Amino acid sequence: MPENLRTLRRKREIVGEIQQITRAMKLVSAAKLKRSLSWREATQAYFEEIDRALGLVAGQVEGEIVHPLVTRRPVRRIGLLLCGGDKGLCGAFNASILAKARQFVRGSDVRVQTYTVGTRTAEMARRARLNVVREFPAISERQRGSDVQDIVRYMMHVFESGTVDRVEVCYARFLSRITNEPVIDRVLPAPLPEARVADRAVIFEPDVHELVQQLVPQHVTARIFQALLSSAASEHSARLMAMTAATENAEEMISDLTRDINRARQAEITSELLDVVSGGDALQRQG
Amino acid sequence: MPESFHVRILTPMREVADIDAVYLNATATDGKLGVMARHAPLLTRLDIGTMVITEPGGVRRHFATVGGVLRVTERGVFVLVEAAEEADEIDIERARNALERARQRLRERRSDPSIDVSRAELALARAINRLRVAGASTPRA
Repeated sequence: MPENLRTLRRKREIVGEIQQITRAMKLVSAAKLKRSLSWREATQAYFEEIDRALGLVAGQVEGEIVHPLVTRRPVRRIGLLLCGGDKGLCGAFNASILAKARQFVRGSDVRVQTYTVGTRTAEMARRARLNVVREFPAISERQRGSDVQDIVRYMMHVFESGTVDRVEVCYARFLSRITNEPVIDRVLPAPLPEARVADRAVIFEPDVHELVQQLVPQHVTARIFQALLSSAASEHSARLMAMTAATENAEEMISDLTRDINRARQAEITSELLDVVSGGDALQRQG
Repeated sequence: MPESFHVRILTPMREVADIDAVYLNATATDGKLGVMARHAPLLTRLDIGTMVITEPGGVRRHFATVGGVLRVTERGVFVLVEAAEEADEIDIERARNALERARQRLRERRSDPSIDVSRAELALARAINRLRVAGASTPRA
């Protein structure tokens, strides 16, 4: 067999093997996306009801809600929570949130310190020379939320201790299975839901002040949770799309290579035939 | 049979319960609280404690809840808590370990100033509560 045909066959084999991997990753991403969407859905009601309850309390408080987590102060330093993933192979997902973060840092007139979620994001942020002061692993459902709680606690700590005067979260907001949008949202001081007055008199126990103490941290936690869950859904959908495209590309390469292989084999047969025919001719002429 | 109402127990992690009830007993910060159908609109702060929900069939379900609020509305009762677990899903082994860790930290607080005492106390209270709701005995310190 000529070298050419053998190389082509080997190439097709390799592309086939790669396709098996991309197809498997595609299936895994589809399953993970489904899970993270159902997680997001299951928690949606919690976020909405916390906002409703806090809005109700806000409507009851005279003046503004007072709580360390909503107190505005002159901004000398900003903390930026950059939500990404542990892995690549998800198209422009990591690059686009990093671009958003860099744009934010460049446009800020005060110092920005960055906290990353996901090892891949941490690597990219360090390479982009963002001031990374804390790295968190990507969130996982298996942790029952304790990993998210660690992040939330740390964000509250840097704000309350005065290390930073504002905390923003940069993440890819999940819009649909095929689109996401890198955004930056303020988390602290916490933006409050609109004050509402109930249609019927509501009993507040033990009192409005105690409820503020309870609900404001729950509200902040909910906002950070939402950003992280949205980011996770975006990441899985981005990887699902990237792996779908890769699987299709591999399919195309395999069919191209198959055509080349057939052509090469045909050429080989033709040349062998030519050898036989011209050999026969020569023998006849001799005889 | 008494009139029933709807109860949802929600946490940032998941929806723990979405059930009909005829009676709900919760641990508020200023004492035990009972809710039946047609209760007046209410918003109250909850303590770490047990929540018992009686279903229309008479079945009583026990939940361990951690800090949050309970809201009575015309749409039903919403329990918005940081975490909640039904008695039969509580991992007793995990709760015992958490209890031991919290006790350990509290024992070491004098020698180690970096220990967050209030956090350890909270962890201890949670672990004891979960063990109580799960019906397991609390090992002595």
